[in-house]
This record gives sequence, C-alpha cells and structure tokens, in this order.
Amino acid sequence: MRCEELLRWINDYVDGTLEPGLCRELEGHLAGCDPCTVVIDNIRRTITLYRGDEAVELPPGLRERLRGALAARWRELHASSEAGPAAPDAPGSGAPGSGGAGPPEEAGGGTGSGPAEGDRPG
Amino acid sequence: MTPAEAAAADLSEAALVERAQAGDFSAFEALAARHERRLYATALRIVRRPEDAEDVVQTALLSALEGLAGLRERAAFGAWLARTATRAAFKVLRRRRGPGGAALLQAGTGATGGCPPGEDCGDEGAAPPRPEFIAGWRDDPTSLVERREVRRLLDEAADALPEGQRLVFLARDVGGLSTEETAALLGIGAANVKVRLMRARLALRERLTRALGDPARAVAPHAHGEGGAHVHEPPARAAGEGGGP
Repeated sequence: MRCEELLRWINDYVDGTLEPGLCRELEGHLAGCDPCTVVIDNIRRTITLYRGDEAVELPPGLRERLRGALAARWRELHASSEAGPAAPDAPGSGAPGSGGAGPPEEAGGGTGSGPAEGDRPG
Repeated sequence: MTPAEAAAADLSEAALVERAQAGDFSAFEALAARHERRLYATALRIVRRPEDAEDVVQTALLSALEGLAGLRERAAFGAWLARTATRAAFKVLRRRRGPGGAALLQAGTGATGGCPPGEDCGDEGAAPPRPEFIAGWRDDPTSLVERREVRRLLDEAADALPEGQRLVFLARDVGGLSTEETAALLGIGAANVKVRLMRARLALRERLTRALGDPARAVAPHAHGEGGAHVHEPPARAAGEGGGP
C-alpha cells in the first residue's frame, strides 16, 4: 500500500470500521511509515480537540433560562403522578422561554422533540 | 450551583442519570451543567447565530429530559445528548430555508450524490489534499482545549473549510451522527459524506498541525518510486518558520 492509497481508507480506519483484511494491510503499511502514523495521530487529536471544545462562557442569563425551562417541563411531566417526584424549585422556574430564550416550537409542545427513533442507547 | 448539584457533580454520569430517572431533578440539573457549554459551542458552530444556538441547547436538554426514562445505556448520556443537539441544530438550518426547503448541500457530480473516494465531487475538487506538514503535536488535546487562542484556531480552521465539508465534519465528528444520518440531514449521498469528511479531516489536520505541531518532531512525507518504494522528501515547514499555510 502506498501513502496515497492509505488516504482512501483513513476515515474507516480512524472510525474503527475498516474491513479486517484492509485493516491488516493498512497497519502493515503503518509499521514502516512514520509519516502516515503521525498523520493518523494528528487526525485523532484534531477530532478529540473539536469534540472536547466548550464555549468559553455561556451568554448572560442563559443558564438561568435553561434551568427555568427544564424545571417547568419537569413539573409538567410529573404533575399527573401523585406518587411522582416533588416539583423542583429551581431558580428562575417559570414558563419555558419566559426569560427570552423560549424553546422552539418543537420543544415547547413537549412532544415530538425526543431523540430520533432508534437512538435510545442500550 | 445548588448544594444538591454540587454533591451530584462528583457522581459518575451513569449515576446521575440513574438518579434523574428515579425522579431527582437536581441530578438532571447537574447533567445539564456538565454538558451545556459543550452543547452551546457545538450548536454555535453549526447555526452560527447565538440566539439560534441558545434555542438548540434548550431543545436538546428538553428532549433529553423527556426521553430520559427510555435511556438504558446511562453512561452514553453525553453522546446521546450531543446527537440530539446536532439534529436540532440542523433542523434550525433547514427551517431557515423555509417550508419544504431545499437540501442543505448540493450533491456531488454523481446524480445520486454518490462520490467514490478520489473521484470528482463537484465543489470538493478531485484529489484529496496531500499531508504536507507532518509532526507530532507539542501538547495533548485535553491540555489545549481550555486555551483561548486554541479555540480561536479551531474556529478559524473550521470556518476556512468549504461549507459542505464543515457541516459534514460537525455532524459526524463533533455531533457523533452516523454517515447515513448525516447524508439524510444534508441531502447528499453517503459516499459523498465520506469524501467530504476525509477532506475536512485532512484540511483541519494540516492547519492545526502547522500551529500545534512540534517542528523538532517533523517528519518528511513519503514519495513513492518504482514499485511503491518509499522515497524521502525534505520536511515541510511549520507556521512561523516561513512555510506556513
């Protein structure tokens, strides 16, 4: 395998989805090729860096608005069950979006905004 | 953070999810606090408007709250939440296009959007970018991510990508969506997603390595002679050495 050919399979290799035969061939190339080994390490670090990136800080008031919206929705979900958990008393509790960051329509209705079908881990 | 949140913050992700599923709202608040900055950063990169990013974070957290009871793989809460936020962010992009809006991206030259690696992909060009500056990084990503100048570098590098590559990279590598779901969200073929992702990863790698790579650990790219034998070339130069991007 030449270095240029390795680029064709680099995605699947990094993602761990490369077919076993090709994976062995690619790793055979890596055993004798420092540049390709470093490139793959660089790519993994690049992904890790982006994936771990966090905003320096949230916009003013957003955290409180989120808490209020979550507390209000929590109370709604548990209100019908007398044996359910006590209503939370979070700071800023109130109607979702009352602080100016109201939930988009698909969230405000409380239905149809859950994780996509088939995306419930486990 | 309330005292209950503070106490919950020491718990594992799975333990917090279990508590929240049992009805402990402060545990869910602690989960939200753990992830809200990262969700906001991801959302902002996709939708680019702070007010839309706020909506995305709220949508994702409300969705997580509503879907919490069905979550069985508790340790995967963070990844599940990231995917939920990414879908919400792409929904915002589609909504901007109006009712029944067109696909977010134009497919490659293939009529179905399929674009095998190495072949032409319309705006993506033909050949994948060849790595030029190759070097181990000076620091580990976990120690880099808190640095403000590194955040600026990440923003600039992502913004410099063609839109198709940028969105695919954000959906796949940051949002954790599958190739197939990314293709469906963007209105292109799965093969096209793979090509764009490869190009995005290589382009970001090049730019970040020129800034974060250690010139003392630079290695020359290999050329190949007859029969595929390696032929050594002189190493490229890092940023600041006169050979920057």
